[in-house]
Amino acid sequence: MADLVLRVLRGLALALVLVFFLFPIVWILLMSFQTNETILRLPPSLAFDPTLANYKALLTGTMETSSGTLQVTFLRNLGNSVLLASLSVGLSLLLGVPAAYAFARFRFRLGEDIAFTLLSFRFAPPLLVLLPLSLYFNELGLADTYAGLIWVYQLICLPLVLWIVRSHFEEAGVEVENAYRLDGHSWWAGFRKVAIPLAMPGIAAAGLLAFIFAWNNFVFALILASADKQPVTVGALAFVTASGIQYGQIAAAIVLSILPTLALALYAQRWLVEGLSLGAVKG
Amino acid sequence: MSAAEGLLIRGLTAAFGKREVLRGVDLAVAPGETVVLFGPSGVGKTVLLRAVAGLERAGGEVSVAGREVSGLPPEARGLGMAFQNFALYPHLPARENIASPLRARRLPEAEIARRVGAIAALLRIGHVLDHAPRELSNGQKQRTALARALAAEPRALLLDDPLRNVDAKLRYEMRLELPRLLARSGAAAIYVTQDYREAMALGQRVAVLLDGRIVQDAPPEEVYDQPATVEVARLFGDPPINLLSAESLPGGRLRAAGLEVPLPDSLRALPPDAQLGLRPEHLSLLPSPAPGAAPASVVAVTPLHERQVVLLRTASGEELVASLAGAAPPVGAAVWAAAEPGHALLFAGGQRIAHGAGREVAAA
Amino acid sequence: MSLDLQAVSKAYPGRRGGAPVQAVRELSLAVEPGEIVALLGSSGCGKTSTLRMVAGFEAVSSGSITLAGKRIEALPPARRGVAMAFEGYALYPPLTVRENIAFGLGNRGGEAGRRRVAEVAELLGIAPLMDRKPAALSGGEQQRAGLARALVRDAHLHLLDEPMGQLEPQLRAVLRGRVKALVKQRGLTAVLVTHDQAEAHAMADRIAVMEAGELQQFGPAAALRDAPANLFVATFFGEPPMNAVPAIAEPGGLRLRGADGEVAPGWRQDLPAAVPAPAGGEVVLGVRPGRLRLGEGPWRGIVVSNQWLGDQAHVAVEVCGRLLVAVSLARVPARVGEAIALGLDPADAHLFDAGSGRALAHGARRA
Repeated sequence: MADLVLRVLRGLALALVLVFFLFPIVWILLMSFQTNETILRLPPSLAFDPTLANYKALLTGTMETSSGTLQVTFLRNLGNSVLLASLSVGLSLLLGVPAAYAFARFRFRLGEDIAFTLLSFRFAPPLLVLLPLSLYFNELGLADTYAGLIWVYQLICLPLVLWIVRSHFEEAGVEVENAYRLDGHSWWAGFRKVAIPLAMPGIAAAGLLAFIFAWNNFVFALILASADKQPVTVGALAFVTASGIQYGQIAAAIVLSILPTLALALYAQRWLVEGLSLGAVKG
Repeated sequence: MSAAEGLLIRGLTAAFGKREVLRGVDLAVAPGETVVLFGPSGVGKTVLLRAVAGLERAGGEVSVAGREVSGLPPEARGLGMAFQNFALYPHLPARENIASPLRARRLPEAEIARRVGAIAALLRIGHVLDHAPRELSNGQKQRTALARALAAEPRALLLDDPLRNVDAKLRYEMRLELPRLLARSGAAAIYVTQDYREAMALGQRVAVLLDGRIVQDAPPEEVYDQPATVEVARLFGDPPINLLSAESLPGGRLRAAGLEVPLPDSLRALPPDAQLGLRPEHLSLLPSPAPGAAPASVVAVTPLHERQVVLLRTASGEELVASLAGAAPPVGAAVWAAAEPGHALLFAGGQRIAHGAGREVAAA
Repeated sequence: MSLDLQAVSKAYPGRRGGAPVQAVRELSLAVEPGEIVALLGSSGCGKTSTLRMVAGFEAVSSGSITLAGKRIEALPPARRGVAMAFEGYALYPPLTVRENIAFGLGNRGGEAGRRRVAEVAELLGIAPLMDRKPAALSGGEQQRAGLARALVRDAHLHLLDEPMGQLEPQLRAVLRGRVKALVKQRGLTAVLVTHDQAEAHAMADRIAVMEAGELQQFGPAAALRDAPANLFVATFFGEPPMNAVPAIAEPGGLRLRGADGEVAPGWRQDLPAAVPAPAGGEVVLGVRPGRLRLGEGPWRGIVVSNQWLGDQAHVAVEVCGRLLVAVSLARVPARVGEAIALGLDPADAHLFDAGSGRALAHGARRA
């Protein structure tokens, strides 16, 4: 009897938490199938005629508003997001994994300081670096280029990769690599055949997380890129038009833009938890 | 065969920052010979092995089968090594773990399969070759690690306390099997342990590492019966040796904790800091007074394996430990403890100055 | 005080809806006042779960625990009257060793308490360390401080969880003796949990061997050695462990099996008394290493190793592919590689059912 009561209470508590966290997502999803009129009516209601107009506008690139037809660059923004996030993560893995290995295995002068400096980029508000960065970028001709954005995105991705992967290298221990070398294999072979495979859960988790963080970035792209290089996070601003805010389209854009990361996160959930919990315990 | 064809270590030094861990270690191991490197934990045994393997920066010379390897990276030294924590490759099945050194030598696939099969049969792990390391029992892991170390038939083997992490039953089994296996491999083997029984069971010689140096390098029985220093005497033996401060008596005798034994012939008198070392198994308990025996009472009886370990307090207040093959007297009983003079050890300044009181004297 | 466990079980919920894990099954165990009992077993055998249930850190799934005549299984730990030495020492880092040891005494200690703290510290050899913080101690010293904190307390029961595992080996023999003498002298009742049979053997009046959550045998060390209840106890207790050779029982004796599992021609053991063999006659012959006779007997083997360990010899002999171990307290004049005769007195033979492992008969001889 007491068992049953406990189970019911536990279920209720769980439901409450779920409602709290899922409500905004559900609401956005509902909004994306409504017109501005039904969204803005008071009091709000769950009853409405679903419409695909918002999605259609996004995908066809034209938006009908009361003040005329607008060009929408949403698909281009989506493409930018994919391009920027993937290339940034790729670059940060290429740089970060060997660096993480070096920090895990070798003690060198200023090693900890460098590692911490890299991490501290995550603490600093982006606005702190934006002003000098945009000046530099204009100097160097990197402003409004993909290369420049990818470079700046390393501020987001590299610390993540470095710290998560480092703890995995440390966890795997140097002993198995030593054993591999004593078997007669070179250091490089040991790095590829033993160290990397053993750190793989961490590398995967770090890569996924870095991808999501890069995808969600807003402010770097807003300042450093013009419309044709901007990702979806910035692109959604286009719906704040002179004639009003297109809530329906914004909602649809959000739904479409979170889909890739959501799918990725769900697919790799196990890896993410495994890879990150180690970092949390050991880090 | 001489050590020149086996493993030769000369003047090995290693330091962590300012702390000198190895201060000039010399060790020679002939092919087919097993030398146990023994010492308490933290004394630098593993550092020594790692230095020989090329995993630790070290000074001095190391040669394997007549080839100087000191300057070479680990993979070029041609050594086999078994680690305390096994260090198996978790992402590879046992078969690939064992095959690893053979693959490094780029042997043909058929030859690799043949050799892995042979060594696995020898170590009785043929039935688990396709298992991942996490699916193996500790004993199987340890055998797999040994198989990997032996697979390429290295001329020198480094075994870093490989039985540390297996249960008692397996430890005994391997203790009995290993000598045969190692002799058959023909490799010059250094076996690290901090268990003196394992050292005595497995080593043709035992090298005791203390304070960065080999303080004694001798057959196991010699280390046990004639330890070079007090420290070695304390480390060898369970229960450990009784160490009692000794004073000389008139008439060529000495006294310690109420026990009296004859002074060694070569010694006219004892140095002031002399200590008498008496192994617990060389103490006997008598029910009545006897010449030279110390009156004592039984404080506690704590059996160990086949023996009865008896904690005594002498009339003069010292503690003595006796290890008896037969039955022990009850707690509280009054007994007289007598020493076997032939096994008495005398130390001064930490060094052994004599053993077997009343007989021969070691070079002090 | 007496401790009585009646049919105590502990089940942990299974992971992800799997079947529950039975850590302890129907454990019944009675500890007499003033007795030292060891719970002995390898990791995962249920000894630690048992200890935690007695201490009150873990609820029993079923069964009752009675201490000093009072049911305690539902009481919070602090009200059970149990003192405990933790495997992980569990010293309070900001307190000195002295404060740690005196902690359990509270203000009740007074002058007598201070004296007792000093006594126990002296006994465990940590008197010179009393004003240090735990962080400044070695593992062995911390363990001794933790043990002292448990021993100074007055309690109905003292629980000692692997209390000497980290001790410096050179101190072990003397400290075992001193602690045992102290416990006896103060008339404490103690339950010692350990995986180290040497420690259990040295310290305990009776030993409870556990495996897979079940009590295998409970009795004095001599009973475990001379009359093991089953093959598990026989090959677990004793160093080196008992030799066990599968065999087929027939009138008048046994035919023994070689390493390949086949009956080895000519390898026999005569047994004068009739053996209550199971159907099919599949049994296991057990003989203690200390009872195997070398140099005489009907068996023929090859000496594989002869190891003198200072105070005893371990000799391994291969018979029909099986490795048998003999222990002798004197040196054995046998050379590796040579043939040797060996055998055993039927009075030293133990017989087990090959299927269930249950003991069928024990030789009459006692050590």
